[in-house]
Amino acid sequence: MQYSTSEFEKLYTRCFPPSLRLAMSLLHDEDEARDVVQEVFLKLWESDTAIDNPLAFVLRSIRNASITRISKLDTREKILQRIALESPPDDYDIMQRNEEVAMAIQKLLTPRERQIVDRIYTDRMTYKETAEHLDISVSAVNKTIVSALRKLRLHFKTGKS
Amino acid sequence: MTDEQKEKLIAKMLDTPASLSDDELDEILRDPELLDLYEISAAVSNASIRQPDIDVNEEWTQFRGRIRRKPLPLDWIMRVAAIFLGVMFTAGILVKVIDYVFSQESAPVIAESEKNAEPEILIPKISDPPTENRENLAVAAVTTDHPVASPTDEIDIEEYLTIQQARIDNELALQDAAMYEDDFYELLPQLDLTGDEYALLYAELREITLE
Repeated sequence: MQYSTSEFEKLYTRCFPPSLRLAMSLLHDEDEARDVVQEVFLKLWESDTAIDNPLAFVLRSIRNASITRISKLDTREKILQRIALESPPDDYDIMQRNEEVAMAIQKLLTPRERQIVDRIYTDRMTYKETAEHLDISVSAVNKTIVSALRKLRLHFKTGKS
Repeated sequence: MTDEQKEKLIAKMLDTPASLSDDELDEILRDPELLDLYEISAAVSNASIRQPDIDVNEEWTQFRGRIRRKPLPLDWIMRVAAIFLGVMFTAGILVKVIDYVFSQESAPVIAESEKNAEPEILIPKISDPPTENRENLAVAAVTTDHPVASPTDEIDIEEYLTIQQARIDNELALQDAAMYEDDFYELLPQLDLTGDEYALLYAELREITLE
């Protein structure tokens, strides 16, 4: 154990917010995310090894722990999600990527596209629920989403909008 | 796969991925465009998730209850205990050896019987009227047998000192008694006592000295 309780409290209050945001973005479930974050901090508390950058250690551990949790869930979605998580390199900054994606969404998409993206990805509505909410067809929802995703994909692949 | 089939597969992949069949999943994994699309969809999903409000103090209070001081590793405790016991054991042996060496050199050995003997109290015996020979005045000593102390007998040092002190006190008392006796016999002729008066004085003195 390398920290006193007061030292660890300062570390915890500083690192917890970005840690939970990362875990939430990966696991999409608040209880699961909080559990993963606490487990990682417990390991840090019990560790006898000196760690130069505790925040980097925590974020890396949360990413790995999240991949492990996802891999244990036997669903098609989790298979694809695990692939999406595992493909970037180890030093990939997920939080920075999230910020870039959020900026690209605001910058590149039309208001209609942003509206549908919010319903699907932020409000976690299904295609059918979104179609009913916006009074459009399911097919229209799908086409708008695919169009938005292709714009973003092109932007990040080539750097052009 | 036709464009229409591909569009349906994309919709299923993005909307209800849990319902994908094994073949559909294989199709997605084989198609770079579909994989790319899924990746960017996952990135948008990660970036768009609604983040909870965070109260760090409350979070710390909840976490604080889960941590505890880690017990010292068992091997560290064992090592410290072993060193401590070794030091104590060595110190104990050294103390015993030193104590034995010095006790052999200085401590007197006194017989077991003497340990329990009371210190001698010698009462001077006042003899008969002065017509008798003063040389008959005898100090009636309480005689006890004093067996030669066996060199192997041991005695507690404090008891030994007590006995020695009592002997010294007794010798001093004897000396005082001898001095008082001399004074008495010097004064006796000056008193010019009759036989009866002398007998009465003698009885009184005996009573006093035997108290």
